[in-house]
Amino acid sequence: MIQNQEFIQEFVDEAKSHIEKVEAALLQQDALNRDPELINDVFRAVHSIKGTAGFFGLKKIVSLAHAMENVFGEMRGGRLTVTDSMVEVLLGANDCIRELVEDVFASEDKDVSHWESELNRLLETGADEKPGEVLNERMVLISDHQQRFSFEGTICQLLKEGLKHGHSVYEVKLRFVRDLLNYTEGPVKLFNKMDALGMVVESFTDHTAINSLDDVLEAAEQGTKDVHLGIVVTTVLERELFAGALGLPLEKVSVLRVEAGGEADSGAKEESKEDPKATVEEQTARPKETVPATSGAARSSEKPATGPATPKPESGTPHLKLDDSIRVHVSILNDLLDMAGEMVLARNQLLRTLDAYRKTIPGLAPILQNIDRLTTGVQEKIMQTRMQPVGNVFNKFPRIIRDISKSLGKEIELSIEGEDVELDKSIIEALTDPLTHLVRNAADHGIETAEDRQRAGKPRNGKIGLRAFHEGGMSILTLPTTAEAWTWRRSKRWLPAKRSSAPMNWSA
Amino acid sequence: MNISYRDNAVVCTITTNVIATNIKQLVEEMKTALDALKDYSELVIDLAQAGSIDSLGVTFLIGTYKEAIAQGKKVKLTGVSSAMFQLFKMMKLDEIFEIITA
Repeated sequence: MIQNQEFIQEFVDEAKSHIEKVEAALLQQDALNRDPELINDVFRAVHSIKGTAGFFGLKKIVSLAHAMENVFGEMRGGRLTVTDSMVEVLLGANDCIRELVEDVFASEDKDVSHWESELNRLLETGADEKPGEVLNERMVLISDHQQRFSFEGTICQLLKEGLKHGHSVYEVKLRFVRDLLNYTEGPVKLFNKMDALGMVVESFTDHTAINSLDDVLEAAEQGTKDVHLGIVVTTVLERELFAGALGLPLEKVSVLRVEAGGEADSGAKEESKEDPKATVEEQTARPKETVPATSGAARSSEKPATGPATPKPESGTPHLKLDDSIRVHVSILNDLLDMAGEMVLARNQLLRTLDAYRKTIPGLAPILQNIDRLTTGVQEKIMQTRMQPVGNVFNKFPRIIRDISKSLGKEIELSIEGEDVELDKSIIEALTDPLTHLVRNAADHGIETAEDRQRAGKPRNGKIGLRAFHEGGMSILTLPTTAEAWTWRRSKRWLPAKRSSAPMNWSA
Repeated sequence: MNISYRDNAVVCTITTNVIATNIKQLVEEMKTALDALKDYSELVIDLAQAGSIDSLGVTFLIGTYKEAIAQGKKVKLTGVSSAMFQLFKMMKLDEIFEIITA
């Protein structure tokens, strides 16, 4: 396991956000069955956790994420329908990954076999008879040396989504004898590693150069004949990191890019008859008995002839998608905020001191105005960097409500509005515990069991609402069932917005 | 390697690791088996006792397969461990060999 504290912490932060995303999606069971994009999001989140954990050698996290990925893969292909018990298992496995991530350095000592077997059980028993949806999408990827790969169906969709979200697709090219024989860990471990770091999408073997046992001896003794292996992998890792993590020279890993117009779906049918998943469009890469024996060698000699050493990626290539946000440590933002405060004080002193000279020194007035404007702007922008959506707190509640409902036999409907309303990080943090307490209390004591409600002539499900909104320069949070709204005032104190004498009707 | 004959098949039971250091010997023994194959219709390579396999070992199986096919014979791999099977699958060799796992 890589022990670099800084990198690991980055992984932990990133993994936590993926885990939150997975949990939020799992709590929308109906939407999971309806919305393929949601399943894709979850799949990608788990895939990212797996890929980065694989890079750090966190085998337990990789193994569990891999098992979850398999289940989501089946859901995505339409071969598994999301059920309540399935969500239960996936939430449990997700919690387990969360525990592993939170105590990442001890994660290798934890036992994940229970959740692995539960997830595998889902795959074995959960598959219904529904055939996978036939997808007509098609994608053509092209390598630096102009070799083309055509994908369709589920794999195409998977690649497309991955590329859209900054994943890369690589072709790993290896020769059985000259490369793999020198790979100290053996080919099985190499493939396992590849699968842990990303997802093996397709592979192909060109064994046209080996036609007899004498060829085998020639391969062993002189290395002039060989079997060529190509593996198409998608991963979150950069090319250098991926090659490094596999222990392969960089030139063995080449980037595949989307061919211009390669997502058209016309003509896909004819090409794909031989292989439903992928076609390598140059004959040289196909393990066909009919391919001329020279093709393997031809393929390896193509590179210097046709491929530029450092090809310029085409504009609009998804591989080069730039992220529009970065992670910054909170302590840096706090320092910036403190400095901005000091700067405002210094500006005020400057303005006061020079106020008398505004008219006597030519050009001073506009300079002071500029400093005034810029200082205010810097302070506002820095304050904005600390703002977080209140959804960060709200998003915890669907799971809490689900668990309480299950354990107490209640049917509770939670509605959330205004997740995008932003508050300072310190307020978000201060809000978490009291809000959790309020919501728990509402669910625990305010809403009766479904049977009691039915007997009282009420709908079986009780409702709890959480709402955040801006009004008159204030950010207001309401928990409607309490009949009270709490307001964050500029005076930085929480005050009841409306002192209501109305009885608390938790079950309204 | 032990060579035996069963019904219409020549059965080669590989008792060593199918790795680079043993390839020369395995090739010689397999040539004997292939010579005998002309009177039979199938070549069975039993890997149940083969400890491990490396990439040259896989190349050896491919070379054997090609020679048997050139004679118009069938080739079957038996006793294939799950790790080996995964490897063959990854290399798409499950599409050319008939494989029976251990």
